[in-house]
Amino acid sequence: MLLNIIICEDNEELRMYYQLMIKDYIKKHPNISMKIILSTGNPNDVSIYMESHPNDIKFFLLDIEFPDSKIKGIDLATKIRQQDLNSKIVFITTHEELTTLIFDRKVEPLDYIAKEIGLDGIKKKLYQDLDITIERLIPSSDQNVEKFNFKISSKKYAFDINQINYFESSENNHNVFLHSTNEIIEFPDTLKAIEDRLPNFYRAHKSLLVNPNNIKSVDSKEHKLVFKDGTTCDVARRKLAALKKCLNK
Amino acid sequence: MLTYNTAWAINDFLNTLLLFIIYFSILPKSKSKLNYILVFIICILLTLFDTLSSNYPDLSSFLVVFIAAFFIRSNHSLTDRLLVWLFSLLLTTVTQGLGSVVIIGVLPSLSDPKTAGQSVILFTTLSILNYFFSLITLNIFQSFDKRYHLRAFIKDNVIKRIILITLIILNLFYLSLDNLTKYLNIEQRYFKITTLMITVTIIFMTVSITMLIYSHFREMQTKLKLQQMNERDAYINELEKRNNELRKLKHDYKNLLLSLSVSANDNKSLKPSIDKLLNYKRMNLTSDSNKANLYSIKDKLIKGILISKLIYASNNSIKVDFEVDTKANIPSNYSVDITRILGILLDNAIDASHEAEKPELNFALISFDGYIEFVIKNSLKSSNTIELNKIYTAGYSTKKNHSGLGLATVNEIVNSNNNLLLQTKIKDGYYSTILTVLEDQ
Repeated sequence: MLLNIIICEDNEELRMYYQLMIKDYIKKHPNISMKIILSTGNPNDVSIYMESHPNDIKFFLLDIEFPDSKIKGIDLATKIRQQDLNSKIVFITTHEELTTLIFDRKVEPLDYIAKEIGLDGIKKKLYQDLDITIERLIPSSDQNVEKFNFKISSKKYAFDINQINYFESSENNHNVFLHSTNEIIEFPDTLKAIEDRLPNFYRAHKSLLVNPNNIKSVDSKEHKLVFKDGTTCDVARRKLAALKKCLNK
Repeated sequence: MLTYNTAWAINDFLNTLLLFIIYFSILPKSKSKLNYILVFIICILLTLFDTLSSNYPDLSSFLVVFIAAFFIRSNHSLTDRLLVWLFSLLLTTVTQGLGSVVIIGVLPSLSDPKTAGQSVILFTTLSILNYFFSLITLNIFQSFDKRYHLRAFIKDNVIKRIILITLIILNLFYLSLDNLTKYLNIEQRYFKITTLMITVTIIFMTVSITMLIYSHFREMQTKLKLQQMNERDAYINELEKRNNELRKLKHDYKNLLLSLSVSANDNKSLKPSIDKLLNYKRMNLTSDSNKANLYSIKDKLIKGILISKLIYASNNSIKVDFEVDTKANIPSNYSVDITRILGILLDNAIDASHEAEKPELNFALISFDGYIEFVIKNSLKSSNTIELNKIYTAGYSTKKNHSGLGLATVNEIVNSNNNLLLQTKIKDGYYSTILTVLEDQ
């Protein structure tokens, strides 16, 4: 598997220096095949490359402000993300251009490198990011976890199924809440449709679809389910027995 | 008969003089020795004119305005002078009428003097009453002016013209009524009715003119406000542009510094100083450009709540970062709902981050294809234990003595709306909420 590295930085000297750093890194890791496939100051070149090589594994090092071009780094990165969910993007820029929340939501970059930290700092962070990228390149057993896929408008989400405690439908509208230990996400869907997609899950209530793998115990007195992380939720009384049976399997 | 005529002439002289007294007290700038002498001469001439042509008793009233406007020198504009002349004339003639009515009403025996003594008493009383009423009215007018700055109010040309026309109409109306009753020699009670009519008319006109002026004034104020708002928007745009230019410049300058440090790599003494320059904290402008971006939100309600909470948070020493995607387009039909939700969420975030070791509040408005997101993120106290699946139920609160109704309200609004979606997340010591607003299909 070849890792294609793309650099887009408008300052020529800096671009050369990044190239040197990365080439150095490549030399130090001879058993991993990677290559600087494109190094440019023009974001349009990156777009063209993206279109002609959709299936490559890519690592992007992007500046955000290009004074000579109408395309902003953020637009370029959004475009990259839309075409390829798996490519790694690292922004290298000055403090002022960083609007991290917006970037996080739009691009989910691997990292931000601020130019203020100086060349040595940049080198250190860049090598760390490359390490992470390589690590994730090698498919490992715990990375092959099952994902639950859903969409909010045009954006795709993939959520680790093992993390899900339960799904809950709301009374008044056609949305479903996904409950995990640290996250609640509302998205447009129906419990019925999710139930069909996740046969392991158990419909404990008209408005409740639970993940049996995460249930710790069933509290028959209080009609409650207790999950492994300590959270609880109410269950219909007549479903309790069936649920217990299902859990004991 | 001679005493009567003399008394009448003195009364007439005093009345004419009163008009000038009022004029000078309203426009004190016209006071000068030359004008005093002129006034004296004019008054005598007019009294002579009145005694000689007693057939047209009010002709002198017209004459006095013209003569005075022509002879009395002052540096006020013609409209101003005319205004004050007409006002003085109306005031003196109306108070004259009032004086007569009072005499007819209270001392009817005096109204038709038989002896010389009676005529002296009659005209003295008339003059005194006339001065009394006029000066009281003038005083009331001036105290109003002091308190409500009437003069500044009257500076507007439209208002001036309205008042001028009103004064002309009132003057003509009164003088013609007065002349008519005198010329036809109608009984005294008709004279009373005339005075009553003119008083009612004056009150009516004053009220309606006041209302007219008030509405005009309001209109001017709204125009002014609109203009100010436009100017402010233009200023903010300009500020944003400058900010962008400055940012670009800084980007270039940091690039240059960084590449300079590449070439200075061998020089041990130069490199640290370049690094220092590169990391010079005072050159960071982020917060200011963030504020400018907030102003670019078109929805007034949402802009309002964001700006007020941003200011409140930064005043409470919370590190604030507000990011706004300038392309974001907020559907106006959700404006009220979004404002309510953001208000509650931001309040919660401010309270929670306040307790944290490092108070931090981040906000972002992000636009995507077909939807927008409001992200609110705050730092948490490290010992915080929030039960995520309970926070949206009424009554649950991590704060002491708190109703815990806020998030329940948020939940209610979100649940009643298919296009509003909520995500909540706790990660790495941060609590974040994302409100997604889907565009209508």
